[in-house]
Amino acid sequence: MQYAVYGLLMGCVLLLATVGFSMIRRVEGFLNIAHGQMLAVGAYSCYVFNNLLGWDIIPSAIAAVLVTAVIGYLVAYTVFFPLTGKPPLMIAIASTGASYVIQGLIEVFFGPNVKQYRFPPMRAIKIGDLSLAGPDQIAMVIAAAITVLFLHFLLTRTETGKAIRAMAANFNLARIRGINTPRMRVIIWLIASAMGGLAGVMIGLISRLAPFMGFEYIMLIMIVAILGGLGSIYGAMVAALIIGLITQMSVMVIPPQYSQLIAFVLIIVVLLIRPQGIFKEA
Amino acid sequence: MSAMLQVEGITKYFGGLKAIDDCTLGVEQGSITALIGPNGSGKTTLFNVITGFLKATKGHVLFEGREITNLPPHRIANLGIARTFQVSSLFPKLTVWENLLVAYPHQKGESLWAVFTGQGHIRKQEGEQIERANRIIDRIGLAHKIEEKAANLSAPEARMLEIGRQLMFSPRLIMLDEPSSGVNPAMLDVLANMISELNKEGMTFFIIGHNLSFIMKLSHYMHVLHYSKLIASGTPQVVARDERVIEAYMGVRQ
Amino acid sequence: MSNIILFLASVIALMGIYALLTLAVNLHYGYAGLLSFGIVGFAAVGAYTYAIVTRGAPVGEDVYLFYFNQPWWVGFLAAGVVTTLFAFIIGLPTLRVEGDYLLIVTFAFAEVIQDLLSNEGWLTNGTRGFINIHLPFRELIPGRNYTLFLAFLIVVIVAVVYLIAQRLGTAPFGRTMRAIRDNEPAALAVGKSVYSFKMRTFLLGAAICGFAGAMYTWYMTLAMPSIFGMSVTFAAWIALIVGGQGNNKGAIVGAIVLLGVQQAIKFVSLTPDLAPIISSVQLIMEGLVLIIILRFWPRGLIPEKSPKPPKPAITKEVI
Repeated sequence: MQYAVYGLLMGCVLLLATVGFSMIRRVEGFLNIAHGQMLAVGAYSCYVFNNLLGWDIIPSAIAAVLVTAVIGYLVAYTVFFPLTGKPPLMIAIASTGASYVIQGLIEVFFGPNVKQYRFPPMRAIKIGDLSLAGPDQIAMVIAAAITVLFLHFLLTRTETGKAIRAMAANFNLARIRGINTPRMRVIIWLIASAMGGLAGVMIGLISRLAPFMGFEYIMLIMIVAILGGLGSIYGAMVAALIIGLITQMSVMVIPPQYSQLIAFVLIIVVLLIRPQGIFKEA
Repeated sequence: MSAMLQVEGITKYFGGLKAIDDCTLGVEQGSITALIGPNGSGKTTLFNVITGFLKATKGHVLFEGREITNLPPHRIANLGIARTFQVSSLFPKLTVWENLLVAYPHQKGESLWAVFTGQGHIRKQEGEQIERANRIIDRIGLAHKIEEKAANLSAPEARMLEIGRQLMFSPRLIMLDEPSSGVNPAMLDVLANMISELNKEGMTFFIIGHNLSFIMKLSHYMHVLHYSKLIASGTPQVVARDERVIEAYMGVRQ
Repeated sequence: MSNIILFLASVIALMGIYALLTLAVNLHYGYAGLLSFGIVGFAAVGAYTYAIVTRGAPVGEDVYLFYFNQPWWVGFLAAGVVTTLFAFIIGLPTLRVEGDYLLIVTFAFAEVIQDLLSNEGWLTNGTRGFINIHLPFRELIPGRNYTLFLAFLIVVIVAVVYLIAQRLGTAPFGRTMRAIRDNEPAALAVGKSVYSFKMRTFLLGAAICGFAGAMYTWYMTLAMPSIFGMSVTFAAWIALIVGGQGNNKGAIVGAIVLLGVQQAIKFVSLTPDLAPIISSVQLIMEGLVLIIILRFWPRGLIPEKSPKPPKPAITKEVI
């Protein structure tokens, strides 16, 4: 049962991370390897506020998300925007360069050792004999759910959201139709980076911080993105939960070091049967 | 009497949309057969199904008595069916000459091993290819543009090159998808003459036509497709007088 | 003086190995248009095949079960063969899949390989890996001169692979590959089995990576999972983009430049104060260099001039 909870938590993390990744893939058109680093930035920012500045965990988390949003946008502004229009492969490789820079900076400022938040471990809520989850973990799931709802609301009910969807479907057409694409781009990068940051904060809570965590998670993010159909936001959500649950719960039958292999085999199988992923690239 | 190309009961669905509805038609050997119909009737889709670019939902395609349904497109090309595309499908970064040479089938030089051995063999085979390409390039009138990159050709020149390229592998049936589109009236005659001559030399043609005057003069036999269904077949004269055909076109032509 | 020469030889050897990887990337991407991000995975397979085939019995804390004790050239050939087999199995489902999907799947393949190398101690001796790799002709060339010999050997192999890649490019094979890259449906309509061409190119590139992997173990004198990480794949791609994608000369130049920059950065950051963070600073600088090059020299150092067949004598006949 513990594994199911952990799987759900992992699914939430992947969900937040991959939705941002998919958004960028849809609107900007390239695979942003540096998105994994947004998780690291979020996690380490929270560390700064929580451990170094002494704030409580919740304000730290919020501040971390905001900081990550800004940093993500700045990276886009300096590295990706000048490359607009270039082949996506080139921008993807540039994002690798950006990833190196960010990871290097993290290593320089925080050192190579693993870190944890200054946050007391909370006891899990018990139902009968089963210990379900700590209130912090439940809070995380709720936070993820709220974010998803917020995003859904944003995308379907607001002008901004509709603009985003239009841009994701057809960038040039959206521009011609008068959508303020430069401003929308900013908003999209802020949102995507913020979500990545939140995912990073959560990883810090359930796991630990390490300088290479950006690259550590980017592969899972990409696998989830494929499974959900590259660029489909809702597909990414579903895929994230599936992968989160499967990789964690498979530990019950298969030794834990194979969890990545499971994810890999899963996408191979899916690609064989349905090359576009679970959801079409709608 | 079985035709060279026999389409039997072909149905094609795209999700819920029925693009071709139980189509049965034949193309006789040595003929110039046309496929006409208003836009969106499914003509190109039918071509794509016949030539293997799309899978048929139901039905069969037979070529010279042999089942070719759902074979991959390169296999169908190797069996002797050439096709062109609505928008001339060339290799833009290759020169005109290379566009022709690349189309020769079963090149020894295409094997990985040929890199190490058989220089002599490759040269000999290239020699045959070159002769063939020479004849074709004269025929399509592009000898003066031999080193030009295909991307730089005008639309009619591109059309001729595409046809010429498909001739390189000696097909027995050529399927042209709207060959007259993008071709100015002067070139249309040249094109029509070339098709006629090739036909007299034994080449069978199956042509999707949108320019009715062009296609009616040229073809021996016609099939009419209207919104996924075959509504008429016959000689041009018969088809032109068919009420259903007139109605179908009247509704579309402004 | 001889120290400098030895150092240079060692750098050249590593450049050569990366040149091979980059040539392989050019085969995959420049020739076949495949976003192949599993390069290091193939190198790892080749490296470990070589190590296992040439290995003697386990000693001390070694846990591996398989060893074949063969001479180096058997191991070398085996590296190529086994890697090609792996590539074939991976290629079967993935080559039918488009662009970005292929990128992610090949990337995942390499990660999984690295995981397996760490975990399957019975085959790979786990994270300890194999040390004391059996080196070719080691007995004949004692002492430190061996580095010179290795550099020479690697350069020769790079030259051979370069010539092979060029020959392929100028042959009808290369022409057909360019056609496939230009317009795949048209290539199908002309009767080319596109899948077969892509697969063969994929296999050849993977085989080259396998051989390069074996050579990497010669250079490192060991094989460990940690040296086969995604940074190797990225380095090969960066070398290709920097050198000029689509041509083999550019691949080699790119590898030389990339490694040259890496070594230069090592020198620059050699002040003692920076000692603890050298590798991090290196990482940062590599990233910056990459970003800057992509920004200002997007076409790479040697712009695309893919190998073209010599102008045939036919021009006379035609006119």
